[in-house]
Amino acid sequence: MNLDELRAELDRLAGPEVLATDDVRGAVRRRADRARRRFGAMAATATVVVVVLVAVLVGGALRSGDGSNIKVASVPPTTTVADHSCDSHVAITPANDVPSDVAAWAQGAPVVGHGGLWTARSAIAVRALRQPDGTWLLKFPWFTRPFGVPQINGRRLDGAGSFHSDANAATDQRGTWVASSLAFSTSGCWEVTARFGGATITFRTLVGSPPLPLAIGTISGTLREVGGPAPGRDLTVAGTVRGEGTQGSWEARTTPGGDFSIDVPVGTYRVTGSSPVFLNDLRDACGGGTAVVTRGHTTSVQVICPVR
Amino acid sequence: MDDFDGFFERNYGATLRAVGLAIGDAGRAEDLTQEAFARAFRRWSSVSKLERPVAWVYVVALNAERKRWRRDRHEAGRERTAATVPDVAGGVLSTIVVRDALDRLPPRQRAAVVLRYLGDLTVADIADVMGCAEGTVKATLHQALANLRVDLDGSEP
Repeated sequence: MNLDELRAELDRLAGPEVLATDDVRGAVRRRADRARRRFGAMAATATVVVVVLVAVLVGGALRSGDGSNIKVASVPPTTTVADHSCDSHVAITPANDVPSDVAAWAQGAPVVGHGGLWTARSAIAVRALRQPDGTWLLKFPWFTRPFGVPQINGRRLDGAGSFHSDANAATDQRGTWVASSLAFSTSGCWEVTARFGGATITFRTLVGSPPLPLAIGTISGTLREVGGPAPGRDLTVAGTVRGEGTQGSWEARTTPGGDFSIDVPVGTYRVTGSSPVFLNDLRDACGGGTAVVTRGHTTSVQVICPVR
Repeated sequence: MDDFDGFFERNYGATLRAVGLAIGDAGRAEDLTQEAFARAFRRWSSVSKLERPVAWVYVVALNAERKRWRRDRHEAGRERTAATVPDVAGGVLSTIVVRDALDRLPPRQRAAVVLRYLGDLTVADIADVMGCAEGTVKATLHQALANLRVDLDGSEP
């Protein structure tokens, strides 16, 4: 073996290429901001101590100023990079930010989560096992605070498929946690989302070995309320956007500002939307027309809710 | 000055893969790499002025490994002998055999060889990462390549 062959072998052993996704970039920035705040708080405390000492030494009165000059760095604008791999897309929570009960449950191993919902990073790397009936099953652990069973949803990103989950309490020497079974109807790239107590964890998992790269693209846009009495209005509204097409259907919640973005299988979709600000009988009255999604590209859609 | 976004975009994936293979723990590598890039982001005004900012990221990411490598260095030669790679099919090695051989290398030899030939770090960069002299890195690389039965063909490691 020569050096070039060694390089090639090491490249193979290191696994597939890893993309610098927006999720990871965001996680890195949050780590930096948390550290900056911690440092700012320590600096502020140190400033207060010095001021007090000086005041005591000179016998003067401590004047104003609490030294709390904590600054949160402004986050530079990010460029959107469409990620069409099936990488797990998770940001590990820094050890300093992991509650002690979570750390005890994970026995010090890296974890993913926040607030009331957590899981072990290593669990996300585990692959689902094929069952005799042709489906795929993944045993998956969660830790909730306080204890409860999370709502777990799954969707296939690169085609049609159905998902089912089952979750129960499990108790061992680490305490009480949630043991779930995630059942995938077919192989493919799946996105699993768990929600509990306002916290959400989303990750991708490759079930089986589908051909890569994934035949998926992105639909993004805004849900808008347009029209009404003169002079009329054009406002963004929060709600839900749905798509139905040759590759199945999907549903995306918008941000409070009405924006949405979702990765979907390549295909043609009829896009509709709804918003809680409208009456039930106007559900799906918002239309976005027909959207054609091509591999690796972002298709922009404006979903318009006409107002008389 | 290069912007952090571009730096992150170009280097995150490769750094994560190299750190993961160097320490043999993908989950921990993810944590170490994200933390190292977060520190680079905080100090970007100064880190970006370095000749090779990515080498600084490697140093930070693998800082915790240094103690282990130093300990390993003292133990090397006394009680540990890295298993050499069997000569399979006339020297043609499969990925499985290389992985097995890499797993059996002492940690510092494994790290040196991965950082040099996957991470493309210079010998000087690796010396910074491992907290040792450049000569020590060269010697470590020689040992690692010998254990892996790599034919240097007159080229420097």
